[in-house]
Amino acid sequence: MTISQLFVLAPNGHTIVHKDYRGDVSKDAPEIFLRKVVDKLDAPIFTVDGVNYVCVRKNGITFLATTVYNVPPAFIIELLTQLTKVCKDYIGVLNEESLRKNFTLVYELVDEILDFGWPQSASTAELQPFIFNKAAEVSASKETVSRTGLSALKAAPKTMSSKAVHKPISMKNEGTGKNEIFVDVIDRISATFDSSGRVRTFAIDGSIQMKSYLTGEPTLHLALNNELVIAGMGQRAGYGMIELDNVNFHECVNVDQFEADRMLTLQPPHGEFVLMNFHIGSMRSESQIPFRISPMLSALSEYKQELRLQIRAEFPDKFHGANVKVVFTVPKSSTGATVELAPGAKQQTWEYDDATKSVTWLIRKFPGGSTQAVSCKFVVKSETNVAKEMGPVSLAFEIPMYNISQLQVQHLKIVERNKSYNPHRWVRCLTHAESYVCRMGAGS
Amino acid sequence: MATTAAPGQPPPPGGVVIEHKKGEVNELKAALRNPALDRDPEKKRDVIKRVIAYMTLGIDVSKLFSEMIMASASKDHVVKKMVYLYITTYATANPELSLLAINTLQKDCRDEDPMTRGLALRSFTSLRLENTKEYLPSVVAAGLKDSSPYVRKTAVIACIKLHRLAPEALVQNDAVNTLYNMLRDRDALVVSNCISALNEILQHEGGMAINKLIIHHLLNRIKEFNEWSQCVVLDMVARYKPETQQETFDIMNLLEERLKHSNSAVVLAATKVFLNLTQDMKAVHAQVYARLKAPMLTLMTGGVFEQGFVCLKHIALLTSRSPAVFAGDFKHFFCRYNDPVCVKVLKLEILTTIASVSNVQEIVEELSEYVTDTDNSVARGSVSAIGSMGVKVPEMAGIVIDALMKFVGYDITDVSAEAVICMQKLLRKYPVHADKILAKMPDFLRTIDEPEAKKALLWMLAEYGHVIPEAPYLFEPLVEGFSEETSQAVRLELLATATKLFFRRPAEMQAMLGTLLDEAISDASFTDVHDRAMLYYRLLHYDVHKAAIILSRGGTVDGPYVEEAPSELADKIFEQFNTLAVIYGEPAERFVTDERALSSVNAAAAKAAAAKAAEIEADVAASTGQASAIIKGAGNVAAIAPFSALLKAELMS
Repeated sequence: MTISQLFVLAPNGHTIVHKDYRGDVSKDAPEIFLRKVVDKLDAPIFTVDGVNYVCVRKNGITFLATTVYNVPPAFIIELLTQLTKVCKDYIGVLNEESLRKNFTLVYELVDEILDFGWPQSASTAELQPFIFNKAAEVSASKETVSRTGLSALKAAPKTMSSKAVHKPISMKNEGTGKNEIFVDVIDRISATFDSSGRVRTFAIDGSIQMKSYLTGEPTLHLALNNELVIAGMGQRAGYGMIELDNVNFHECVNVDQFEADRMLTLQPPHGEFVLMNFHIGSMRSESQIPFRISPMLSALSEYKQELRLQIRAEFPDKFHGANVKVVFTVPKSSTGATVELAPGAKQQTWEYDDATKSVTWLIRKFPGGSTQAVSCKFVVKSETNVAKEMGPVSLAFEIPMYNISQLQVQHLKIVERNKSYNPHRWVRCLTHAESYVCRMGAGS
Repeated sequence: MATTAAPGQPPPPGGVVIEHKKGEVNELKAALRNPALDRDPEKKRDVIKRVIAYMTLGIDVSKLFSEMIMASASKDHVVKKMVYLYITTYATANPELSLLAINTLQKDCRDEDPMTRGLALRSFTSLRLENTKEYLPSVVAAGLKDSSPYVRKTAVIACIKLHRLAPEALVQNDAVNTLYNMLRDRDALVVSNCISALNEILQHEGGMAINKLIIHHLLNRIKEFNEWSQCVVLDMVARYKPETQQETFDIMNLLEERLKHSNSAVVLAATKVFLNLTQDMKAVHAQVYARLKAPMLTLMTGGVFEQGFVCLKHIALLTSRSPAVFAGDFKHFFCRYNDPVCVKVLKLEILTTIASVSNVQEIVEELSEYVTDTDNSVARGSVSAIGSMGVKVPEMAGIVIDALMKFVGYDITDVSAEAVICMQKLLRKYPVHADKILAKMPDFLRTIDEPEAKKALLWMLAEYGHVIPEAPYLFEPLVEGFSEETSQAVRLELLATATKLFFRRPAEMQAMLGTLLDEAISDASFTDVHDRAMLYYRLLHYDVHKAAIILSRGGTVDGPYVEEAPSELADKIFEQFNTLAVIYGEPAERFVTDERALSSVNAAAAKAAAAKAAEIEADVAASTGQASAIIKGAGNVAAIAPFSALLKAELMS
């Protein structure tokens, strides 16, 4: 369970930080690694000449570990993932610039987290007494923010302090740091539909994420919906109940009161962590479908085809989908495509990329309850099986302040503190499309 | 030690320009010597930070060694850490100069601040220098007795480093015993480091020795350990064999909660314990699989993709042992359009394994959608998976063949080729479906060009030569193309096909076979082809009837294909659950080359083998024992009976 070297590599492959713990692997490990990656190898773990390479990528940065031992792979992956989180906690943003500016801090971190390749303490809080470098702050560039999957929150007016999560955790100056805590309930939805709208696959992978800047070490009570049922725990979901298939928790959580009161007790560590993951493996009710997609394909002539695409937002009208991006591909033989937006369509754009034959339709703001439609015309060779060759319609979207899982944080209490201790508590929610696809084929 | 961007790489954009390095290094030297620096801690940090920055870029700043050692006298932790980083990096290149650092390091190991002591100890033992040998044993010994847990846990790891540098010094210190005693340390991290250290130091004998006392002591404290240490502890528990079934159940009850952990490393480590403990209890073992299902599915999609990938690999292994467990959850393994290719391919593999009569139709329907995937390996993989499912589930063979015929119509080179290869596999098992495929034979022969697929087509042509009326005429153009064929495999198959067809349609084939053999024998571009042609020729010449018996044996298969049958290899990989062996699908012996790492693999294997041998011996002893022994055995059975009844009751509920 020990690693030989650790590398932090920039998007272009250059080494930002390199720590050799055991001296049993050659120094050109990154070159061998990069050569493999260029060979289109997308597996995160592989072996070359007795050296095992394990990597985790985040915001274009590669965290790479090498080892000569037959280690548990999950152990190394989790450790590297934890390292990305700790770096983000201490630096504020994770990108090449911030890592380069703070490389001595990163050295300090990797030196404390591992000793001779053996993991020691790796939680942000436990590390605090041993870290002395101060973070040089870097502003989050547009690029990195949009990749976090929380970009929609930036636009929403109710979430004004969202920028605060990009600041490094305050360490020594506890008195002056802002006393606040962020809780995000995030639903990631994956669904596949056939062209008649029938659900083929459906799953929600959700998590409750926390980022704590609280002073002291308060104990928190976090209550979830009372109507919550975990399948397989002997309970049945009745009307109005919310059924989850499985949950797991961060190690700081005490779940003794969860069974009875749906109450979690925890002492949040400083920094960002995932409090709880939950998984819903199948659709429980029609209301869980946020967008309905209806494609209609018709031949205008032997060569000319038209796709009419209609999308309806099924969620309540006080919410909206943000940055809804619709992508589909036209048959290989087509030479171009034109899109006609609906008259009066606001904040909508489209583009066609001939290299990939893909059409992208972007709707900045998609109000709940509304229907948006578009018509796309393209020319194909005769005898093309258009329905078969059309790529599926995929949707990427975020719905701020809305959870299709209905999982809610009912309250977040701080236990046994005097009245003056009243930190800001920000509870936000978000639904995010992980993979949302409607197939074009005739619905086999 | 920490160094350098790889040589030969240009400096990163925005980085320091190397051309001026010589001047810069001299400038830094001057700056470090400036006495004013000691009065301005901020500036001192800056200067030293610049040194480290150069070091990371691969610029040689070893000339500053003596100045940096001077700077280490600072009380500033930031400066101290950077200086030690510098020293550990350049020590091996400057063993002489490093002696200068030893004094400071020794002094810091006795500092009143435990953080300084720990840091100095860690750096001191990381120098990997011959000439530190004489100083280290006493420093490490003192560290092990330190009042601060931070220093103690550093000293424990230092034992491993000392073991690498000077094994004999460790023996003199009696460190191994000390480490065993420290398993009772108050601090959990010290304890888990002791386990790691003992495992490495005693590698050649299969790692730390365990007994009931140690394991129970560790298990009772499991919640005190951080997540990484928990994995270390669970790894030890997985090696342990409880004395009674009751003990087994106690351990499992205690660890049940670990399966709810959000860290996949902890869940998989606990899983291994469960699987190992229940190895000899079939019913419970099966139950363990069922319990694992929900946590594994959550981890598979819950975290970063890398974590999901590892979970999927382990699920794939579990399903190969017990396909039924995940059979009902097959939809979880349908691909998402944005899954990386390696994940998609893995999901296809799992789906093939768990396919059964109840779910196969839906799986085939879904996989048919992936056939047009833009990635070749996914498209081909889907076709091949569909084919394998047809082979596996006899009821599906007809439907699968229809689907395969459809895929050939998509006119995607790789997809068509793979579909044809699958058809051959299906026909070998279910010849009843031949008609549909044979009707399309002329089309296939015209369009398919890939060697493997062509071979499959030729095989079918030969095998069914008697029912395809136009077989010899279909074959004719292929014979004409023999000399242009560049694949040896196809050429060989052409020879075999010609001979087989000859026995089935002698009148139409005789001339063609003659020409082909003639051509093959006179063409020396492939020796194997030449030899094979000679063999056929002589065989036919010697005795046509005997040749017919030898060369036209049927190619149908009754049992499972070799690939489907359980193998020893799979068992071996299962023994190495939660290691890289699962990822690569190969046992550790095949990819571990490092001497030390290999010795631990071998020692562990030897230990397992010894345990097994002891078990067999005990069995033999028991079976050949006296009557009294047999009665004692009967007593045991009686004692276990109510327990299994209890289990049954649990299973029913």
